[in-house]
Amino acid sequence: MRVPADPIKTKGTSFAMPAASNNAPEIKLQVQGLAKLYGQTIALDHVDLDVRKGELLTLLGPSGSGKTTLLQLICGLQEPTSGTVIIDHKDQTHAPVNKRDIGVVFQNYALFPHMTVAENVGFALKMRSLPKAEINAKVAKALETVGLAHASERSPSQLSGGQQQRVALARCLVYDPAIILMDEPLGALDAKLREVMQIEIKRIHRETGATIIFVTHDQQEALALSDRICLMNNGKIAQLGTPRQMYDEPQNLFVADFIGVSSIVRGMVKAGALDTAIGTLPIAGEAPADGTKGALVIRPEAIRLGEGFCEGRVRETVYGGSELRVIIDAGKQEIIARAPAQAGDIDVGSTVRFGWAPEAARFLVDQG
Amino acid sequence: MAEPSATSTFSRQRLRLDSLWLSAPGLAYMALLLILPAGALIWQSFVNPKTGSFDPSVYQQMFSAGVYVKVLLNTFAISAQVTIVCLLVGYPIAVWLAGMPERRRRMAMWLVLLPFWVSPLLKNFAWIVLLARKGIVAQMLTGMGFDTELNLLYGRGAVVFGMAHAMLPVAILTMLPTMLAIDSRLMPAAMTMGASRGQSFWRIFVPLSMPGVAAAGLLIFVMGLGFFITPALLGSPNETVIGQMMITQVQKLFNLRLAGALAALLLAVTLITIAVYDRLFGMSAVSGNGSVTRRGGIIGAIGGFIIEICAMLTDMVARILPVKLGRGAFTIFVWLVIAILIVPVLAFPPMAFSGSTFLEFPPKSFSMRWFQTYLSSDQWMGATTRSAVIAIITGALATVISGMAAYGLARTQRKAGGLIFLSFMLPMVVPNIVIGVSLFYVLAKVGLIATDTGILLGHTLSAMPVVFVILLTTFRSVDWRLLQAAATLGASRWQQIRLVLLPLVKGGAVAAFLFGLLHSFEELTIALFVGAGVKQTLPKQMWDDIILSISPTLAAASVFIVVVVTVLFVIAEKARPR
Repeated sequence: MRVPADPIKTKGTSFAMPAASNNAPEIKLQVQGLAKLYGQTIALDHVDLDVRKGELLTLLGPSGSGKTTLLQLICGLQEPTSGTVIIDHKDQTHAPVNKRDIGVVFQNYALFPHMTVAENVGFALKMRSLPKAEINAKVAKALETVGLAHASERSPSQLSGGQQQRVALARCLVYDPAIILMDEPLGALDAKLREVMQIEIKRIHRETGATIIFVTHDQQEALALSDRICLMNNGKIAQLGTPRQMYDEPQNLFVADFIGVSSIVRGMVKAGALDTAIGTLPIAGEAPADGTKGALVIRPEAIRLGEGFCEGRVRETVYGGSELRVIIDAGKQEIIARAPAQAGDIDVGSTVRFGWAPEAARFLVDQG
Repeated sequence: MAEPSATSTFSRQRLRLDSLWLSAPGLAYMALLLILPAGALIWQSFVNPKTGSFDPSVYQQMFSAGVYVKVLLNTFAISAQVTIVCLLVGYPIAVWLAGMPERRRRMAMWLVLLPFWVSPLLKNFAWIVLLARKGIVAQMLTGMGFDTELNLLYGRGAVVFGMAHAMLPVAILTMLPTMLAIDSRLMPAAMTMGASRGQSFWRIFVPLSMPGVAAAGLLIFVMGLGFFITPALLGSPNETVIGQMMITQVQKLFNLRLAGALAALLLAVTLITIAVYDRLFGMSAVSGNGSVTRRGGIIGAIGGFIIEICAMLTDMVARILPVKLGRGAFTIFVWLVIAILIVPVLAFPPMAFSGSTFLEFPPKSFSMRWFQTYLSSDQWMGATTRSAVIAIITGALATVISGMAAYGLARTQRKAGGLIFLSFMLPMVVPNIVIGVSLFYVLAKVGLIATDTGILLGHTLSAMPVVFVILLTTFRSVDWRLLQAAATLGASRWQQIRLVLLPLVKGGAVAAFLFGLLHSFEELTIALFVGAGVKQTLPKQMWDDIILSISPTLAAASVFIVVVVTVLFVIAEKARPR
């Protein structure tokens, strides 16, 4: 399966690419037919991917989906079984790690414990044999960018998790690599700090115009950060698109299930509608052929409670501050709905009617 | 979809040298200087030197003569007694250390580690003086109302005491890691369920600490089998052990066949002990990473019974006596043991600065004359210089050979790693005396006997386990992603090693080198055989003097050794990464 690497049809409204993306975007990294085998196990299955200059692309996926393998192949820590990696129009597939113009922010930062913060940040410049004065100036500037100018002489162990994260970031920014790869960089931080760092990364990305590939398994993080998301599953790309496309227009059930919360009602197409366990449901738009197996995907916010064409029993309600999530059992089908919290509590065990506007439900063919 | 095809890159990876090959020099060293010599020594014990045919007559001789059988029984009995004393005395000390906060424990550990690094020869020598007739201990006991004619030395009691004293640090250091690995929340958890303090100690802590106790027991027993210094110095002819007998056979009677037979016996008992231990407890407990499983069978039943009784007794005692008293008794016991561990080390300087013509403690006058004697004696200075030079080269050689293997082992996930680990531990499993006699036998054939090179080769062999373990821990604690990080930042292979790996392992390497050096500097057994009385090392010179005529020069030399050991030990401990 070849996923179109360049879905131009962004919805007109809100999404804007940063920096130089107005005309034909310049391609920074091209991955072609990249595959990696470990013995008989296929870790990565012939992936094609283009990354544009200045964009922040997230590699998202469950563990074992191949996202970390892809990252390691791009930066050269692993050799691919087949395929090519092209950085800035040069084939770098077999270039050694230290000769590729890339920067990596490691999962637990991998700061050198025997060097000060400044020495850590200046390491890459030293490797490039820059004059001392220039190194010092660049290090100072990079540390200022991440807000750690005062900590340059400390050792990494004296810093908090968030500060270490910033040092790791500065260590990449300082030598302005063609691509910055981040391997679950926020995984070790607590929820609050993670949000702060997300905003921080967005700011630094915007200010520096760096090309960033960000690996995460957290879909919220991916939605919050990315210009585009590349969702991976079983070593393949499941879908590539903007966060909004991923959420609003999932192209298969895996994407619909992985991104955001949704109710998935499976059934078979009969006379332009879907025959399911909770009744025959309308399919909006062009109806697929009769006998097609598929499912309707409905986001919680699309479900109206109190009226509609279905009925179920409230199994559980989850209070979430601004909203009340309502989990409904309609026979064996689970439906997740959302009610405004101000509307008051809904009794667990009560029977409730629900429905949705047909065009708010998305029909997807069941491939499995 | 087509299967991804294996391209040239794939085969390139397979061709890359496996890091385990780095242990090849070390393995070759073990094979050539340990397995081959020991094998040859034992082989010739079965062969009639005149006819070249199979001839087990030395074994008949060994088992039929009453004196040999008695020596064998002696050896096992003493070793078993020492093991029991070490475990019983060492366990509370280990508990005491395990219960401390990390920072304080590191300080307290010095009290155990320093005696650990002072050789048994020195410690036993100190006891000769301290326990002598009319010595300080005898006087103290007389003052407390004991018999005036106390004979503390030269008996079974003195031997077991001296050996247990020499090996107690080993026992403590082996038991401690298992205790530290016990989840500290388990005892409070047991107490929330209604167990008393004593109950939760006996029912939770003690069973979980047993793998460490078993490992310590194995180590002490196996080490005790080949031990000859204490029986020779503190024992009477009644306490003669296999080790002494082997020395006599080799150096006085030149009967290498019988020595080979004794070596074979010693090795067989050692291996059987290890096999039995492995069956009962599993080998993993020695390396300290085994999971605790519930034991069935006889051992489990006996252990359970003992624990029941102890828990009951503790509760009874706790009901009658106030808790404070128990704590007080425990503290007094711990400090008493620590004092006994440290005293012999501290006793040397006063003895050495004595003005008397014979060794006495406490000294009655002050003088530097014995240091002058030591420093002006060609014999002593020659031995000291030789020991120093051999020790430095041994430390370096062992560090390089073990370092390569440790690096290879730390970077592999392969099964063979375990076997290589065990191979490097062999010099610790095979009794030192067997190594000594084997090397004597084989090195004589290649003209390396009575040479510094011979001693150096032997010392490097026996220093290997400790050096290897330190380096392996060091390399295992390295975060290898730091090298990857350096690579992504543009560092070449060589720069990664020079700027990242070396600084990270520097401390461990220095510690390994120094501990290897110390090991060689204090080693007696191998020097005894391979030096063959021609090339005297410092410990060998001391050994000869203690056997022939004890003089205060010995105390002066001991002070020198203790100072060297203490200084190097402090540097090594500081350098060693945690």
